Amino acid sequence: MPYPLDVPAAESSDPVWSEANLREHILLEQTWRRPPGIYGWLTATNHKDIGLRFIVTAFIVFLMAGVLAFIMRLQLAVPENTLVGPDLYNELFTVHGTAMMFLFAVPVMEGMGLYLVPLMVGTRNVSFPRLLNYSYYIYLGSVLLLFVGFFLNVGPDVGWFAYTPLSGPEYSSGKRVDLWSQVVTLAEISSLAGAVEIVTTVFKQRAPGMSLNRIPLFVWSQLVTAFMIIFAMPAVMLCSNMLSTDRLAHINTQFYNPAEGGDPLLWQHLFWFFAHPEVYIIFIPATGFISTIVETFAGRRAFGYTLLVLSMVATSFIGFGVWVHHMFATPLPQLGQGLFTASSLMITIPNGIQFFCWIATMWGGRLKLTLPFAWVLSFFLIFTIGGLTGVMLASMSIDQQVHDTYFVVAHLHYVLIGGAIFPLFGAFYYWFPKWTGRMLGAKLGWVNLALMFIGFNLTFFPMHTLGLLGMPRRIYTYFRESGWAERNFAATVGAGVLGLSVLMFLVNVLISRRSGLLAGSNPWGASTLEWATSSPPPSYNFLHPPMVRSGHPLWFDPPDTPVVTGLALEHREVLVTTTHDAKPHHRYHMASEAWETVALAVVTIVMIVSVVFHSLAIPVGLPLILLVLAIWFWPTKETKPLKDPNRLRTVPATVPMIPDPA
Amino acid sequence: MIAAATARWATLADNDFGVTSGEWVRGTKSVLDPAGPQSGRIHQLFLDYFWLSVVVYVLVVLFVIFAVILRRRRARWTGPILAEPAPSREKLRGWLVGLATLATTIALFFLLAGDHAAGRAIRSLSTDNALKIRVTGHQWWWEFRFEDEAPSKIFTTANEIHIPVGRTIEVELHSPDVIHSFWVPNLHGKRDMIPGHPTRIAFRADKASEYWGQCAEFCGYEHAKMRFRVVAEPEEKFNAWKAAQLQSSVQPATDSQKKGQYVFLHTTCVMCHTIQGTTAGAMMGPDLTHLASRKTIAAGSLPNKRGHLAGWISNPQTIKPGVRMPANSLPPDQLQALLDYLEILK
Amino acid sequence: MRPRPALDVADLPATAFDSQAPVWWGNTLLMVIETVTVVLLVVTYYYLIQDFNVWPPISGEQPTPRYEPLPDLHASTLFVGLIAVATLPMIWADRACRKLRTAPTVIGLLLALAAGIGAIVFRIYEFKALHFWYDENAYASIVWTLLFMHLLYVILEVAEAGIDIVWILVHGLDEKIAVDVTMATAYWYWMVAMALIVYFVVYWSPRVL
Repeated sequence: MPYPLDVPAAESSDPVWSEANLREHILLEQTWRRPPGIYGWLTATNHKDIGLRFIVTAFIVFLMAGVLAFIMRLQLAVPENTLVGPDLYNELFTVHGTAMMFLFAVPVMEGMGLYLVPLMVGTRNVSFPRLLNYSYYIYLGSVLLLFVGFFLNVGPDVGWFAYTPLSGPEYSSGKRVDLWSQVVTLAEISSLAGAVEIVTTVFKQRAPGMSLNRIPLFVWSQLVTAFMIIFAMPAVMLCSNMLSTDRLAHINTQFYNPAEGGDPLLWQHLFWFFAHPEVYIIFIPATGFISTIVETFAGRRAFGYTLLVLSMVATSFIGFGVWVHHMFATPLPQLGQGLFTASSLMITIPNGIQFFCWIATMWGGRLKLTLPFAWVLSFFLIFTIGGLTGVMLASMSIDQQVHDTYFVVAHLHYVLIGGAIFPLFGAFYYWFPKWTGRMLGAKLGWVNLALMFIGFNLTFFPMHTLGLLGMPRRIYTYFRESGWAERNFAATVGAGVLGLSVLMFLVNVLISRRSGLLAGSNPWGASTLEWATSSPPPSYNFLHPPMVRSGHPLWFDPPDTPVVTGLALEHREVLVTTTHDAKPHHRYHMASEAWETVALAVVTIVMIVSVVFHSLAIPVGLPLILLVLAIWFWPTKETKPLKDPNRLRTVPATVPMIPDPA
Repeated sequence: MIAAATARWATLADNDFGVTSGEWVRGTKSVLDPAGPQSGRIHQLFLDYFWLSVVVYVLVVLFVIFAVILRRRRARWTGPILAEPAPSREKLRGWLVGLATLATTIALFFLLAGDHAAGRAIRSLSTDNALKIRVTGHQWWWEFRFEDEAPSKIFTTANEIHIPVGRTIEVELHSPDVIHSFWVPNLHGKRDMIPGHPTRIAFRADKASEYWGQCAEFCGYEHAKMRFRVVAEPEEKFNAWKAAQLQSSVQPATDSQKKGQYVFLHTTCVMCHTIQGTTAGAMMGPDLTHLASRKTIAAGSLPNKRGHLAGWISNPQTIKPGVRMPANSLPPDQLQALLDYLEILK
Repeated sequence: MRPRPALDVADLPATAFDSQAPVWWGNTLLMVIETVTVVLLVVTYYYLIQDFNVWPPISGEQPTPRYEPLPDLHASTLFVGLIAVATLPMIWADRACRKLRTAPTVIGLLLALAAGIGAIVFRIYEFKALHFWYDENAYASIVWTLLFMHLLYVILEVAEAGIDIVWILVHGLDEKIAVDVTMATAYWYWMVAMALIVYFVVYWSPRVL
């Protein structure tokens, strides 16, 4: 089937609007665009503004944490190097790990979701716009706390999993670990808020007709991830808060203190109960990118849509049952450990199915080797290695040898960079036109990809052997006779290449933002709804919210797109549909910008940080938070009653409602 | 094929460890060069997993590459050409995906069974007549106490042990401060030493050689320099070593040595260290009764040479920043005397 | 694209109750998050038992230390009883608000509010009944944390009920605030459920085990 002709090609894609449409456009723009000036910028609640802020901030974190990693590589380039001492080195790898896991990987994936999910499900904004604003500032506070702390020499230095008792009051004096636990708390508040947004938006605000079996795979991946966040993140908030109260002299609980009946292993259980699902919280959105990109450039719907969705769901479930494989070296009962070997091996099955489905999609498609697709192909080459070493780590016996060595360092970077960063860069190349209206440069893009591929493998492949040759992770130096020098030197060179390729990407973004090729609304000829509006989308997303009759509306729906009319123009109103089959249910009046969200974020951050320094922080802070919350939720009367029959709304229907597209 | 690969891996490891510089202390450290039944069994399992992984990887990559080559569309980009997959082909793909999933599941069962069998084999080492050693991990050094039913045959040493070849060693692991991990890659996998959770593992060395061990769980500042040596040697040599270790310390003979002992017993040294046969009996630092019999100092950070020892005593913080041992600014004559004394503690 | 108006939603209602309302999902997901927290705290409680010879551990009270000082039941039972009984006025308020009947809604909320404030007072006595100060040992830390976390939920609920009452008295009862009242009711049910869990774990499981 040829590509439907009446989806206009690039350049001329924006629909020609009638006068009535133009009037609607102006009114909607007035209603949905944020207030002018700094006030509007600070209080912004639009999912596209906040989504991009998450992405950009997270990317800056990625750059900074990458620089820290490069300093570590320089230190390890030659044996017995004295570039940095143990104190700074320990801070380097802890800040690197914390920043990459908590402040880059999860927020960047959530940022992608917050930007794209409302567009993909065809609505105007996420369900709780004010909460969105709040969650961004909390995240920003977390980022600042970590990096300002690091520059003031109160960066954490106990590893990103901060095992007690090393991180406890007795062996880590000073404020470093206290601030770390507050960084984690803030980051998780923000992630949880984002997860609530995504679940609600996906369940309640889908375009009419978008029943569960028509949700784009990317949206499914975000939904599954959001649920994982909801079930995993409380564990780390809890255990880091318990660590915090253990450490604070004015509270001094005894959760992890073996002398008073506490247990260091309790920390490990709680932490890994969060931190293993964390890996999937990072990886599952990446599978969403892959499914989307493979579908678009194979020119067909994904093979095994249901299988792919079920695999994600299965992965998320099993992901909660494998945490003990991080503790195979601890003295836990053998039987229990054997069960965790089984579950860790079992998680290969749903992931394998995803792989097979993607490959089947490619075999059944007409592939166009574009840049985003090439990033996904590199994912196949790299992530597979990480997945297979993951199978080795699942074996209790093998893990006893390679646990906490550079083999694990290699494995986790193959999984996280191969499994998340490569697809993420592919996604950047894929959706950049939607964000800016311009394409990312292809020439620089291919160089970026090639350098990243070479640099990455040169950095991390030798680490497998380093681990087998006995190099433990988190050592700030090693001795000449250990025989680790050549591989470490190669890794450092590779890290340089990797850094160069990221620089290339930055240059590409800066150039393309101003002078890239104009993209038009749907440069890739893709099938999902975010491409049904202009690039970048207007503040209200869709002039008329779309209705869908298939899982790939821009490919398979009839060209005369049925749309929703009758939504208010002069206040922010979206259509709420039923959870399962997305039938229109009611109109939902959305909150607009409010200074309270920023105020609450500031109060929350100040309280959480000052807990570390003063015992009055909670007694003063909690009532203050309640006060701001009360002001926030203090409802003001609507200026116009919602039932006003004369209110402005989009053009009323001229044709009867189409039958349920079942 | 597997045997050849093993050999290749092993030579790889040997080559790497061949670069021992003239001054440095010999010793091997590699997962790929097993010297005992535990590490050997794990190595075997690792190779099984490794070769299966290679097969899987090659298959995945071939399928991806051929898909790109065979299904590629070379026309200029004007949007996707929607592929209309024929239903019969889709059905075939369904079967193939199912088959691949089935194959994965079966392979995983084999891997699980392999791991289970290996785990049983590793744990089945008989500990009758085992040599019992109580290992305590400190920030950042190792304390070894050789247990015996007769209290007079118990002795303590630090950072270097000798073990008899062919006899089971049962180590009991303790940590009084933070989590450490006991790891001698050539002999066995690692085991974490968690405060409040003592544990034990057993292993055996079948090859006489010198092996490095190292702390494998991040334990603070000097985690990198928390190493120890295991010298596996024939039973007779081990017994001789043990007999020597059971001796009290050598008493100073010359004036300088006597002065050195005096310095040891009247400066800060005595507050942390033990030397049997003197009044020094503190347990904070390593037992120095037979210091000169060990090949390294500072938990494997330096060869045990007079110059290094002098540097270590006067300024340990430059060698191992953050170490618990304070700097000792002794006058040169006292330092030389102290070194003279320490050097006789065979 | 040629948009074709096909669905006029102008006449759809502007509010919805229960699982059709986005707010309901927000509220429910927050309750799920907090439930996970409570469950993990309970797991922690049972996990820590293995590190103790006696549970609760011996308390160093003056003049005589007490062996296995079980937490006293009075204050806690009153606490649980009070908020459990106050579910009835909440149900009443929930039903009334859906029909936009102002008086019963406000009275129901007021009764629940009073019960909530009373419960907070009882909770303060509960801390005394534990026989330990929170920093004495891991047992004390975990039971204090369980009670303290739940206290926060009660305070939040009381504040929400208070705001709803004031709002209704000032602006009158409309559908939007009615949705808020149903949220508060759902939160109340959840709070009672968590209170029962905490009550059985902290007060009854050491008696039974």
